[in-house]
Amino acid sequence: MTSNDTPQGGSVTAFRRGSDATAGQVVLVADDDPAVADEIADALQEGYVVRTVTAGEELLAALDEDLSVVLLDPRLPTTENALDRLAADVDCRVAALVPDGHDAVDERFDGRVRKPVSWSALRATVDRLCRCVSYRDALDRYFDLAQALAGLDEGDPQRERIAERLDALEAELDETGAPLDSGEVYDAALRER
Amino acid sequence: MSAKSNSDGDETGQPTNVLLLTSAVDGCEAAACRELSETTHPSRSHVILATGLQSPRERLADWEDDVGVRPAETTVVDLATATRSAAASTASTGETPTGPTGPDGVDRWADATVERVAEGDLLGLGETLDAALTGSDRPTTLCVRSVSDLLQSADVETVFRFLEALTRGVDRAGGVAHYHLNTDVHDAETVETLAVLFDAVVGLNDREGADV
Repeated sequence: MTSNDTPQGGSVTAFRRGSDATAGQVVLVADDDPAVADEIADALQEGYVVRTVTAGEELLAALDEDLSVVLLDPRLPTTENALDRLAADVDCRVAALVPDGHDAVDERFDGRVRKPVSWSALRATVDRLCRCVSYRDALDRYFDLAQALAGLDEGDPQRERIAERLDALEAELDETGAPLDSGEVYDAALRER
Repeated sequence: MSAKSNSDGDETGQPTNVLLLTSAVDGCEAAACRELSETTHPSRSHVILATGLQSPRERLADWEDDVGVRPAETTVVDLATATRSAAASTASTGETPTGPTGPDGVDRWADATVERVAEGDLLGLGETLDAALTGSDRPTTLCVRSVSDLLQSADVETVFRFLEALTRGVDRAGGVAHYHLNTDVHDAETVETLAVLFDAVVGLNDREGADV
């Protein structure tokens, strides 16, 4: 999305940090090279809560419901197992940290970031994946509210308050969904719990 | 005309996504559908007809009866349903255009594109509709008939999420769309829940006409 590639990305980071759509979401970085894992964590820590793991067993133990995005090097021995648990998850997206020279990547990954990592590409990918999760979260709340509104009688004083919350949610959905392409929107909307 | 805003409706107040409530006792469905299909004259438009219970052939015949004007470009997106295949097993097989033939025996809809999507495959339906919505330079009008058919193969929550994505896609593509919903077969709560997604609701007993 951003055409100006800022290697250490001060301005891009500041912009992304300002986005409410993905603020405070939890990203897990799994790479058997601790230096790489730490570098990626540093690059993301200004907009996200970042956790790192460097071994296969650790990865499986770290998969919990807080996570919005998992970035993982597919050479980690527990990748298959992790993908079995994460693929098509409603609340989490998983991207491959693709090693140089490895082009074939399991199609269950939702995204990929090439190594050596470009920080702008990394942040753009994480932002999109977080937005997919946020969009669906907002969509679920939108449905719940719409259903609540439909259950109230015409004159119920609560209607106005719920209508206001629906307006706010519509704005949130627009803000979150705007940068996503339609394939990402449908995928997020239609994943099954 | 070409650039619609990305929010509800466009600058002229023309609603982008309209829910059309229908009922067997009402009898206005054809007229309302016609009016909503003519916001841009069909002879200049790409018209997308999404059909569930009706076969593409029946759907095109209805368009001919109700609207009459040939669109500049026509796409039928066919979400085959189990109910239909039981009812009319011979009507819609193969990829050949399935329009009514005129008195001279010429297939009048030979240039219509027919896309098929498996029953219940809402992801495939969304992708197919999106390709149709973004695939033409002409003003695009989408008629979904019907949301009731979608509700046969998916629960209301799934259909709600699907329609949020679809209405968003119509906005983005700068098109206009209307969605038939047969109120005879759904409870009021289902209808009102879905209504939230649209810029306007028309039909039935002058039910609230706008801005839900």
